[in-house]
Amino acid sequence: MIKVSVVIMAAFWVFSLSSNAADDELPYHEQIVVNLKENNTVIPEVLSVHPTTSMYNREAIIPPQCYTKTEGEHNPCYVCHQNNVPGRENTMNDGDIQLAYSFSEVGLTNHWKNLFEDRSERVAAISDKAILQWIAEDNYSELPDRLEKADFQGWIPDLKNLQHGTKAFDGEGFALDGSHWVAFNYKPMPSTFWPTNGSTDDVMIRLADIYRTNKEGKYFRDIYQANLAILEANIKGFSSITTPAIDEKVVGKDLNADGQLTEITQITDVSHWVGAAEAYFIDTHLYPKDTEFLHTVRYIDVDEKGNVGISTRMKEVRYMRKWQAYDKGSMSRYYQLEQFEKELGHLPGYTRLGHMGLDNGTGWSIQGFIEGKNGQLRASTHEENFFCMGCHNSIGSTVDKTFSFARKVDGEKGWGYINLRGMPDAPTMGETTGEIATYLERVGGGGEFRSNPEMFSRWFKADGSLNKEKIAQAADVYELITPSPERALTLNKAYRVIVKDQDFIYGRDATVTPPPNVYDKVDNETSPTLPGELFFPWDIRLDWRGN
Amino acid sequence: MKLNIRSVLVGASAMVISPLLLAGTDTFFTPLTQSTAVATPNHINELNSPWQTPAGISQTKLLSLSDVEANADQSTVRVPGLGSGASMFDMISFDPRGKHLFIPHETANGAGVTRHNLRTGHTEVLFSGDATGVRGVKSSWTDTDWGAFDPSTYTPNGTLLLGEEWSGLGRLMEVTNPQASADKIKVRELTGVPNVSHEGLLFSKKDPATLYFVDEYNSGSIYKIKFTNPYDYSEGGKVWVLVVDGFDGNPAEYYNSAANINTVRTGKASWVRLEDAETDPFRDGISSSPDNPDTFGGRPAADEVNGTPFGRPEDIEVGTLANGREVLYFTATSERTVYSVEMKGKKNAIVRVFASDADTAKNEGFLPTTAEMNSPDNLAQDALGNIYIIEDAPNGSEVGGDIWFARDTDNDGVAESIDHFMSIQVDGAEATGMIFNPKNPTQFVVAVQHPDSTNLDNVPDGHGDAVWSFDLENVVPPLCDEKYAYGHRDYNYSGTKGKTCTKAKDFKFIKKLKQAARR
Repeated sequence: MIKVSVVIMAAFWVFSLSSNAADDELPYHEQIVVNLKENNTVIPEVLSVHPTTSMYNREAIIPPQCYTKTEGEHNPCYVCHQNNVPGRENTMNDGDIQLAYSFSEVGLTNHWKNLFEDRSERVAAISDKAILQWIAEDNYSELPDRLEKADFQGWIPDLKNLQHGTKAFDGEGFALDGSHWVAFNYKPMPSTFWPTNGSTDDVMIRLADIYRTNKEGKYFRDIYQANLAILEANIKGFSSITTPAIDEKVVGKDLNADGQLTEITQITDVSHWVGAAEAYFIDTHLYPKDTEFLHTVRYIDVDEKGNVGISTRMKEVRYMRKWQAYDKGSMSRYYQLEQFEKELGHLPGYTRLGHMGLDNGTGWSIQGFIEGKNGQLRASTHEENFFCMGCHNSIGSTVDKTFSFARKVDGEKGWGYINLRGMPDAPTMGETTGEIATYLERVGGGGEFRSNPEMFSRWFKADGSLNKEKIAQAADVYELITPSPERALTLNKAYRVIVKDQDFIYGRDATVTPPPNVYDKVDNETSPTLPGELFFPWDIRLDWRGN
Repeated sequence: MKLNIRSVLVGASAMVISPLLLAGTDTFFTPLTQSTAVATPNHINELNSPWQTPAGISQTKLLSLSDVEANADQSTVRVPGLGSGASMFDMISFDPRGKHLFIPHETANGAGVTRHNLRTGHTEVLFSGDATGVRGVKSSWTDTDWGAFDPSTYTPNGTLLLGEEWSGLGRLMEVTNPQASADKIKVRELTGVPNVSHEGLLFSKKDPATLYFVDEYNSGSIYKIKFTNPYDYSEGGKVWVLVVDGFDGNPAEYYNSAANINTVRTGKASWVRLEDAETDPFRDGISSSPDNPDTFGGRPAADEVNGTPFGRPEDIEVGTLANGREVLYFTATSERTVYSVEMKGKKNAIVRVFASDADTAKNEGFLPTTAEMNSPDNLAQDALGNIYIIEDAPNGSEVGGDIWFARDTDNDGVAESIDHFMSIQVDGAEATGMIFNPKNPTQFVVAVQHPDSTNLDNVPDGHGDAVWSFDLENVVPPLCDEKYAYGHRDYNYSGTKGKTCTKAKDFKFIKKLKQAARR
């Protein structure tokens, strides 16, 4: 009897997603896309099959960038694929992928077919005025209310006025709404997150209540800032760190070891938390339990003067929370198991956490919100969330599966909303040349696909060599990696077309015409690889000391 | 001289009798044709019937984390903060009376063992660590904590052995009084056994002083130790490692390294003793990361005598071949292969591929299956000597891992077919610890390990790790039409006349199973 009920329920769900019988015959993933195009619910409906069964791309963790043609000389892979740095929790040890392709059978085919779509006509049909109007709209403020009404059980955005960017925060990055989110200023990861390649973004962090309060449970900003600074030092492996002014009397601890309790801007004892969390576990390169990150990905705004910045409209709202805090030993076991699984030819799988998204396997729950067909944000589908696992799980360069915090401007100067203006091109830790300049040279273009003509014309000479002299004269990161207003609008339009199609499972890169340097299929044995001398060890951290 | 003659005679008679007693049988069930789909945590399948089985096999829950924790008088291991890996039921042991199950916990730290009384249903922790150990940090492991107890085995002395696998120090622990009340349990480390990444652990059937064990590593070796005092394992003994005579690769490298991938790793082999200072298997490295080649002393010691590397040896079984010789089966998970090692006396052996995903037929003579044997991990053996292969994956996938019946009817150490026996349908879980009841040969147990429902942060009323009991008593013999039959034996089963798909009179399987157990 129960079985019969289940079958009836299953049939109901499948039917409920389809407007006509013909849709039922579509592959599951196409049924989902059809549903997304036809409905505007904030929580997408799901098919009655196992979410993995409904996936189009079982290797969605391999991002489009991994299909770039390196042609024996261009290496954009080094910023993701690195060997273990002693002491860190990341033991993915995938440095070898810099030099050769190593895909599963499924991964050999580039499933990101949106890359190969020519959107020229559709992009041309969108006026500049229309796209500027589109990106100026606020699609964030209404999201919490819509989610609550839909009885969404996951995280509901709780940072007010984030659509306005820097206006939502004070000078030290603290959210003005009292939500305890703190914005920080970081250098965007090369190159997907360079505005010139399609998007702007911002990132905020929030520590659990215990890291914001004293032992009596009372909130103190000084305690919170001290713990944020201690965290930064530990994530970066520093023994001391600067901070906005902190009153040691409030914290109740001599943090700069001068024998007095005074107002300080430097913490030299980063081996323990302060306040209520003083006795809590701490280790380098690990976030404490219940750390949250909020990351919004946006269009590229262009103002009347041609300045480029973040848009009000959000492409995506990404949220991750460290819901399980594992030690480094458990992390290394996870990587070992992942290697075993890969070796056996098993495709990746992750624990589903309902509306909290997916568990990346090392303690982070990850859930995204993305634009629905009308531009309203909606919860991401299983496969759309699955895509996040590639970068937030399966690469060797991250620190505790994250990017931006380790790339934050050091200490006091780095607390505040992201601002590329005035930000120097700091070198990667251990190197001396600016990170962006180095990347451009190693890649031979302005991004993984080497298909950004504007970057090429700006920073390369006619013979294809890097124009180092010109780069050296660039005022800041803003000048180096932001697009012209024309390019910005074009990229915005290209992404707008993808939103209409709701087929993010085929790729979400803002391309107008197919980039030429991308494989549609890779052969692990015969596709050109890179010689050993083009292997680059790289540290995700930046050396801000010279600036 | 007389003694020698007597030995020969005994050996000869054993060779005649053994095939009758321990021949592998034909397939006694209708194999599955696909791996089952897994559902959501706490789905009715997980609560009522976590495995898809052939017709007639019953499954009954013995215990689950949630059941035990709901009872104030009972206990099991749950290490805080480890999510779905908080309990990790692993390779279960029975005592010879079939009264108790011993469930080792493969947790990252805080590992221990739970005892379950099959007669009363009572479950309790015998001992567990204090969860202060950190994987890879040697100094954090003291005599108050243990990591990743994967194997357990009940010894001829009535004690219980537990081995650390991927966490801890690769130690072998002995519970010297596993039948005692929990507050009187005594545990000691067997320092005379080399540290390795322990997985398979079983005593020889012919020599109760000899223990076989393996190193679960991608350059893992096969070992045996003959205890000096078979009544006190703490005195240690002589340690050997298996060396395939024709192997000419690099024993320190992974089985699939360039140096090893095309080398010979089957055929004639020898047990080589680790006996001098250079091959000291007790010189553990400074690290305690199981990923390092020198962490466990047994590992480099094996390399120095050219110990043949296999791809992650995991569980083992010890049986008897048709020729009367002892055989050691071991899985090599990374190779998707199960090997058999025929013992030719104390020092010589023959290594064969017993079953592999690539080269062994599946469901031969039956409807084919779409499943792959892509992760052979545990092994089990019934009273007739049939081997069952349990996969440890696909864990996070939408289809469950499988259990295979290895059909070796001529009992020569090479299976003719692997037949799809069972498939797990629990979200995020793998099957572990399959073992037959020594007192009731139609029954066996299997654990559901690390299902998503163990993580109470995700599934607040989660069912959790569990142990299920299965009974073959009413298994329906394979019925099939002419197209797939190759045996064409008529039989009567429950008043119905039909044709079996097999060569043997497999409808008598249960009877033969019981007879074998009585012997």
